[in-house]
Amino acid sequence: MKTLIRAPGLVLRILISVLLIVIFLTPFYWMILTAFKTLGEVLAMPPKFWVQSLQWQNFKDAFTRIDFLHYTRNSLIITLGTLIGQVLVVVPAAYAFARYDFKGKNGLFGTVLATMMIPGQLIFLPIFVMFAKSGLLNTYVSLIVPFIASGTAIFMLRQTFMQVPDSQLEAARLDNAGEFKIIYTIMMPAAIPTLSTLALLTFIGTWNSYFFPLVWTTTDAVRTLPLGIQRLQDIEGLSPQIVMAGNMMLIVPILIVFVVARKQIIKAFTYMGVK
Amino acid sequence: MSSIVLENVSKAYGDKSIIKGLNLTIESGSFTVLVGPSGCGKSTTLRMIAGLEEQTGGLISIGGKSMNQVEPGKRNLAMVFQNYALYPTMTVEKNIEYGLKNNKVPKAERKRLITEIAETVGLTKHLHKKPEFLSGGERQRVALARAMVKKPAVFLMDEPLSNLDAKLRQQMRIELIELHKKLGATFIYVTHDQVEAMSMGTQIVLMDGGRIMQEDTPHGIYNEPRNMFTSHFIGTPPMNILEIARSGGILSETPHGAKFFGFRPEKAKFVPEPGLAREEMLELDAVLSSRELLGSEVIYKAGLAGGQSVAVKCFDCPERSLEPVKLYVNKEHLFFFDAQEQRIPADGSRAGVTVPSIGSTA
Repeated sequence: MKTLIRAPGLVLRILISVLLIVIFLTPFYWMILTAFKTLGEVLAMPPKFWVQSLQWQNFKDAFTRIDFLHYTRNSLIITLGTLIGQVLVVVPAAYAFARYDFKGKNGLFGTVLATMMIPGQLIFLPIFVMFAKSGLLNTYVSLIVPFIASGTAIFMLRQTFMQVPDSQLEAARLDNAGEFKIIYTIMMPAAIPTLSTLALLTFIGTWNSYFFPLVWTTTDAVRTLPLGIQRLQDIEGLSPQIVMAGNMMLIVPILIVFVVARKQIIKAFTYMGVK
Repeated sequence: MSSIVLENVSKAYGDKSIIKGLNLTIESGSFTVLVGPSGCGKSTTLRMIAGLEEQTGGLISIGGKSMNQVEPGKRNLAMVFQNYALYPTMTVEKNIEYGLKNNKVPKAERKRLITEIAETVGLTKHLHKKPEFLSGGERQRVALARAMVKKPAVFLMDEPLSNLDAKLRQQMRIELIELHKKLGATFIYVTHDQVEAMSMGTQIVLMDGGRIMQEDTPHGIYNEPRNMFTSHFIGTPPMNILEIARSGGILSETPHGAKFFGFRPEKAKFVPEPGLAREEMLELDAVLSSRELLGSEVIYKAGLAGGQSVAVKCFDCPERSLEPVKLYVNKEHLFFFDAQEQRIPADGSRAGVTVPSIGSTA
């Protein structure tokens, strides 16, 4: 009886899930498929949903047509720089907002929240002018510093820090732990799910960043991999299989990081939901 | 050596005053219990001693040294919290080790101390577990071990047993008393439970509304309450307090200024004490209205003429039906209180007791 009542709902749920999976995976599948096709297969009509043999040559081409290593190194430096900078700025800021009472706290916190609502497209020009005037154009600094004090990250981490019971901090203070030790040994371990989620979001955001590196640079010196892929598109636009191979190489690091951090991210969202 | 002195300590949040001019000396090596209804300031007092709250005024010193500028971690004290406050991301071992590590105790020494303490409190086989996998009683032991391992001169305990079930609480009470004897350290224990206070403390500090109502030994606080609050707070059921004016002249003579009188429920008898003259007894006409059986003791509620009621506690007595009875109280066991609810010493035999001024200014 029970199964009879539940069955239609269950079937519907599975159907919707499958549909969603198909919708999300099709572009990925198409990208991967195209990356391994020959030009002939790409242009074939009707389109082919499988390949005869894997064309690894496409990857080699993508790698050599542009200075792939140069762009990758830039992306890595900017991504890691942003991550490290965020840890140094966001963690203490979130701790202060969560645990201290100081004059102007609410106003300051409001300002932090407000930064989440200002579109970057609105302020990129003044910032560009600022960098140009201070001679920071085409430096890594110009692509790292603006993203360090992330309002979203400060807000989310503050929420997590606020869930740590006061008595734990008091116990730590009685155990002769200073503020930095408390942050490092009590707060951050308690916030690992949130921290890894934030790190992943920052990683994806910075790694994929296209707009800001595009508008804030005038030479190739510090341009990132997404811009490199754009360059590839400009050069090899008539060979989609090579562009797709480049794209694949662009997203592989993100997939790896996601798979590694998946458990923590799910934890972070359920943790925030329960409380 | 590690006696704690609070001089004229006050605490206010904004303009809300929690503690006003508190003076208290806690003897080194005592088991002092701060007890009182919720909101009386007992926890705040404890937290000020710990340094977790800063007093608004006054001086707190431990072992003769002012603690006003000393960090909580440097006061040579340890605290056991009501919810244990274990570090959830650390194993039991790391929890115990944390304070030692912060105090820069060498690694080998830490190892030795942890093994020793785990043995003492019976946690050896749980050392590598995280707190979430422990039962309430085991967590309690971790909290104790974490405090004990630092070998502090003062242990502060903020209702540490209130999260345990009744049976375990009983057992931990005895363990804490034994622990206090063994360590010889000063224990300051906060509770709202007068039974806990009476059974564990060598010294009881009863508080209400941010003031000390009475500071005494368990014996003293029970037998010589200084005011109506104390007499009412300590004892189950509390002391019967009756208004003299509403009692229909059953008392032939009352001390000057007396407004209330009272007696402990166990002092009311259904039969007169043998060998006691009539004028040495108070005789009450009452109607039993309810009965509570607690094993060997029975508690009756009895209504008196004039709308007042009293509780009667008797031990090993035959069950009575709920009907009109006569109650007899030896006049020696009567307490008198004035209009300010302060105790009036009854006669020459209690000449040593002076009317205290505490609480009367409010």
